[in-house]
Amino acid sequence: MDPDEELVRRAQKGDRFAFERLVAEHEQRMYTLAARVLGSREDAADAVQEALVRAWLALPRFRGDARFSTWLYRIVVNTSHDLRPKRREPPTDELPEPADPRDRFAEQELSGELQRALDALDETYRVAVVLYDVLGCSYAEIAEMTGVAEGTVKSRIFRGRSELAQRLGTAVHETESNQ
Amino acid sequence: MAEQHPSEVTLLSYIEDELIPGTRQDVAEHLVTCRECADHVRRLEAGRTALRSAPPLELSDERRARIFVELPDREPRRSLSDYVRRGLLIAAPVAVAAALAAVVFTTDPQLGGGDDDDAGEAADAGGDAAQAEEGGVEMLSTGADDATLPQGTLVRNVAGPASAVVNALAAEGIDAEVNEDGSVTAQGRAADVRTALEGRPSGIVAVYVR
Repeated sequence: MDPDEELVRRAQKGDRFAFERLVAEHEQRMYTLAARVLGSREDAADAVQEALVRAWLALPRFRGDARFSTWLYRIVVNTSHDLRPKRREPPTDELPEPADPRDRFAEQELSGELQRALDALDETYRVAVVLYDVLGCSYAEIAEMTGVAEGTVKSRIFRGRSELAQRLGTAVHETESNQ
Repeated sequence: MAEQHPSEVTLLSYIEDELIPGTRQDVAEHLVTCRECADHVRRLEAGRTALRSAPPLELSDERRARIFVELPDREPRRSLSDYVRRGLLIAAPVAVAAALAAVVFTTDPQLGGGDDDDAGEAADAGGDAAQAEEGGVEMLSTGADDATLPQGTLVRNVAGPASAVVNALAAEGIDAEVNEDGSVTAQGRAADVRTALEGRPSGIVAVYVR
């Protein structure tokens, strides 16, 4: 049974408080997913906001075929995809230091070497490795979210991880050779 | 004959410890002699280590609060029980008339009968309709969730953005719209939609037909 079932039922009837409680359960993972896929703190917050609006509006049509969390993350993946071509955050040195410590931490993480390597991956590989390795979703859940077969999911994880390691290795090598 | 390399999926399953013991042993033996596959495995492990070290990220309180303030009102949607209820409302006067007719019929000694069950059911139907009307939200919730329409039947997943997919379908004379979850629902036959999207690479925009 989906642990979110009761709250989902209430939220489907228009209970905003139930929806807020549902979101509280999944918000951190939604934001982490969007941030790692988009590579930008602000864009990720926009993607989560847009995803929640879409989820809230579409919730009455949610039939419970998949777990609620799977459905929600799928919407985040789609929203992030829709936002990516339109949004390019200016270089971080032009932005003021974020006031909130969580924003500062996210900023620091998203300007690191791992994120640069992730950003360079094909989007389908990036989504697969973030869902599998960062969020800990199963192959079946990722297949459900991305609308492809489990074999394709595994292949994307293989290629995403492999390319990421190569890029991180290259980055280390370059850093060493520049010193 | 040259030894066959394990597939990408098999190597990933090896790293994730998902292979049955016999297959796992075969792959382990292959890795001892195949540098190419051993390199793949090293990269997979390095990629996994890097990704799993990524910490969770959190929204600031200010941003979180803004999200809920800006959540729009939801239009009340019509569900199957709405239509059932409306059907009952229309049926109610008919049922009452039928009940009256049944009473007249059964009290006429010339015509016989005497079984009041049908009349009772018809009257009950009218009563249920009135009760349903008064019951409001609670009545709507009963079984209504399962009756809402799905997005349609999945045809394939193509590269986005979703609006470009809609435009591509429109260019082929197929009406389509973007759903709230970013997928696309087209009106028409699955074969026509598939043909219209033939040249489009695969991606994460799910295209449905209804």
